[in-house]
Amino acid sequence: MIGFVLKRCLQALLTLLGVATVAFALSTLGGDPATLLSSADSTDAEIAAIRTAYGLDRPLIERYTDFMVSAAQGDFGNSLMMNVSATQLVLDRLPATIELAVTAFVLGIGLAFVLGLAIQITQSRLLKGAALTLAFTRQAIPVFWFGLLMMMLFSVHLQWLPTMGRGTLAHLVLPAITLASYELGLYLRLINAGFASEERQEYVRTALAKGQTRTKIVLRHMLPNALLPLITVAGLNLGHLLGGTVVAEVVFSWPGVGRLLIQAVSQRDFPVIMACVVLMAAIFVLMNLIVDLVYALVDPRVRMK
Amino acid sequence: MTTQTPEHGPLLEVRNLSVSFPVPGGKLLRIIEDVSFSIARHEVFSIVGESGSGKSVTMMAVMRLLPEGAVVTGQVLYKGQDLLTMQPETLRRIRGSGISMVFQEPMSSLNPVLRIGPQIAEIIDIHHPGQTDAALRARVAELLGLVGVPSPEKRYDQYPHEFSGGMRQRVMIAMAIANEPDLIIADEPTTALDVTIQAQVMEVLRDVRAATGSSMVLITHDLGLVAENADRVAVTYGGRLAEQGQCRDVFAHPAHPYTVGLLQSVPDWRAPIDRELAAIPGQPPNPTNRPAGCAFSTRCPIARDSCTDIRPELAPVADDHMAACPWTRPGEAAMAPPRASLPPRPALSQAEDVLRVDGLRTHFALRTGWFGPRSAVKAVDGVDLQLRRGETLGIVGESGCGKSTLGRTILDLIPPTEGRISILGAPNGSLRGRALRQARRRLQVVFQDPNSSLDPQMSVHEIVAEPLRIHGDYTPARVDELLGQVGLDASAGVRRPSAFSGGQRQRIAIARALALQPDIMLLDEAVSALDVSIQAQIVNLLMTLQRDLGLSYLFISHDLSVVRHISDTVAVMYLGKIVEYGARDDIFARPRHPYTRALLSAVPVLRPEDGAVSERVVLTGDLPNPANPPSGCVFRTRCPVARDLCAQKMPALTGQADGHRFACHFPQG
Repeated sequence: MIGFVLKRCLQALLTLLGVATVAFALSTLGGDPATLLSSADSTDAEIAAIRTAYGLDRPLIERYTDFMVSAAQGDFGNSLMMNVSATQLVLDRLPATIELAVTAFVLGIGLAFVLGLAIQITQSRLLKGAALTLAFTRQAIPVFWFGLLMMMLFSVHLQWLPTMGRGTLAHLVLPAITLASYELGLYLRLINAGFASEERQEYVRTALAKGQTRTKIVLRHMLPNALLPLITVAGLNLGHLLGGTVVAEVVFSWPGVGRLLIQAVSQRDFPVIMACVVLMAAIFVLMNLIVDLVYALVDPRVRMK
Repeated sequence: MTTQTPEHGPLLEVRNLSVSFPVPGGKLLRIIEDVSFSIARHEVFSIVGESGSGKSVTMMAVMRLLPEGAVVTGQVLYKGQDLLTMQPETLRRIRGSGISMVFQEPMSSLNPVLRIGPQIAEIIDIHHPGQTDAALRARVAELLGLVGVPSPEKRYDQYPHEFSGGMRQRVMIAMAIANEPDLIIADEPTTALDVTIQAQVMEVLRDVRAATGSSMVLITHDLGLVAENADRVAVTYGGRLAEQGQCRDVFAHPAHPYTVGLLQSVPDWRAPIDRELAAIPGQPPNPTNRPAGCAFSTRCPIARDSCTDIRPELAPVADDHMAACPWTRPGEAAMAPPRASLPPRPALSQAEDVLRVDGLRTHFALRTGWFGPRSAVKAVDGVDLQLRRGETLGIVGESGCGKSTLGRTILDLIPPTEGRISILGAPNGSLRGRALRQARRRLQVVFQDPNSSLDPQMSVHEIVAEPLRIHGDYTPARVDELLGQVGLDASAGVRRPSAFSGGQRQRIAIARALALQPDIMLLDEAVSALDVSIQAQIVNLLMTLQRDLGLSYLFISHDLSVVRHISDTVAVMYLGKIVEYGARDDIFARPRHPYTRALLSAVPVLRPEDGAVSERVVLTGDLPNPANPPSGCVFRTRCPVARDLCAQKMPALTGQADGHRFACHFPQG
């Protein structure tokens, strides 16, 4: 088990190294930041001065080594636009993103769970049909459009909730529901598919032949098996959400990492972009690691290997 | 139990049971038709039949375990109560308490993520709730001990994947007997197990039945198993009962032409080898194309015109013996047509070697853990063998003995670790490029499962044509000729494999193997997946082809009866080594190695007087871990005659002047 953890940690580190390298490569290929920083009527000399000031005139290898060494220490340089530490900028936005992502995630997966179990235990076709139809319908609507509809209804017409920004619990409601409802549909379908494939397994027949009740067959026998594929998807998806719920953050002007990234991209603020990208990758890799470990805990067959 | 019924009368009575499944198009397809039988207390009742005959579905219907949508009619009276109409809650209390089940696949029948102990404790807790954990644990340990699981206390907390197949089936049996049921339904309980493990499991089932006095339904396709275990038997064909009665009567005086054919298809341990097996011609019907009358009429040697229209009812032919055939005259010769004798073959003694294997080792590197020590699974560990032109060399052994790895190494699908493989005098590694490709024509293969070894997207014509195209020999007429050689019509070529039954697909695989006119055919469990009546057809085909084309066969199989019928020479493998090697009669009539003797004695035989070794030797324990084999003789941990010497020294494969060799310090017989 310790060997397994060590191996996974090493893999995670290598992945991060790769991501940082790709991010650096994109920053040099994606256009000249010096031109961007200068105004339209800057002279060549002025641009050259900017280039020297930011060290953009040094050899590529040197810049890469510097970048990797600083990045390892969490330093991506100052934001080109705001002239404060890019890392600090990202970390300031992180709590907002975590707040939204975790709320949406817990709400979505929790409700999907309750609904999924209710469908299995009652074996009600009506409940299953209704829940899945709603889930499909919601998933067919893009996040930005659904967000706008919610805003129209609850903020503009009913005036119950604020349209944008962050602060009170009321601010969280609309973006969280917008995201959670999408997550709910995803997980509900996954849980249902998981149960459907477990339903055909022979151990379910064994449990029936033992005289076990439906409720206990679902909870004791099928649930742990049906959860296995869910762990992978849920873990990766949470990683995605934590990396910035870009569209929802933009629609509801939520001051999170996603919105910061959009701003940085439009301004070619490379230190901020790179800090964002590397942070997102780190979160994603970490979630992957956690998924593997949880999997090993839940499934004895994986633990053996 | 909540029921109170007379202690007399049948325990379970099935009356006019029919089962239909919905098929696309909203129709119902009749799978089981009008099946009736009854099971007395303490009796072993066997339902025997080939795949698709409906034997398992019948008992699933009895327990109401069929998938949703199945339409079940008739009556199933358990102690006078109808299981089919009772409230689900009442039925639930009978399941696992009054009637329990043992299924075929012991791996998938246990929940993979739950520990073994709690899975057994569960069945007790359901029907006798409120016991303390300690009491449950003690009872489960007792049950595990009863079914022969060593160190039950330790095993309690392990998971199913930590158990071997045989041990898992013991766990299933422990579950089934936990509440001392009146009836145990065992659905192919040993089909997934090796023959020595099968002997262990059947012994456990006999012991627990003796202890609890429960009745048993034994569902199986293995007639030997029925002969050895059942009191009464029902033979199923095409979803109906063809015959039922006392097991002894049915086997001694079969009354239905199908039963006669089925019994004759089983390779007879006494029959002369120069005759064909008595195969039943044709293919078994599937539910969509059953004749309106007797399901067997299309294959029956005594069928009359009316048989295809009028459905025969079960009618008594003797006391407690019924058959569904109006024309039967038990013992009549017409029902058992004489078997064709095979043309003679040239003597093997002067024949050249087409294949020589010397000192072959195939090891698989294995690493335990990330920083763990390197070790190796010695799948094949020092094998020598020769195959002469026109000869069949049978390689037998149980799963994990390395017989398939040996075959794959000879085929050059797996690189050998050490040793020499010479095909027609050319040693491995000596050929490259074009010469190698030409040499490969000499050796062709037929695998076990024709469902996965034939590309489902290709037409049969294309499948057989492929090797010809690769070598630039393709003509449409050649493909038709090959299909004809294996008994298929040329018109079969336009269809895809899915249009054919298992036996016909294996014929296609054989045609493909024959396409390049090989000298040697490797038959890796080539008839093992087939039903016995179809298996006999394919064995006959192989033997005829061998005589016509002068082929040499390397026949890898776990089925000793078939190996005896088809082989000239036999090699017995255990844990990567050949432990005994000799002419067929040496191995089957005069076995010297204790493993060979145990293996032969474990085979359930149809006719008790057939057994080569009169006394059954039931081996203890499982096959050792091949990555960590025992010191000295690899068989010593399970050997009934092992002594100290066996742990110290590996016996060499030595033997007599006649070529009969065995690797044992203390040979028997």
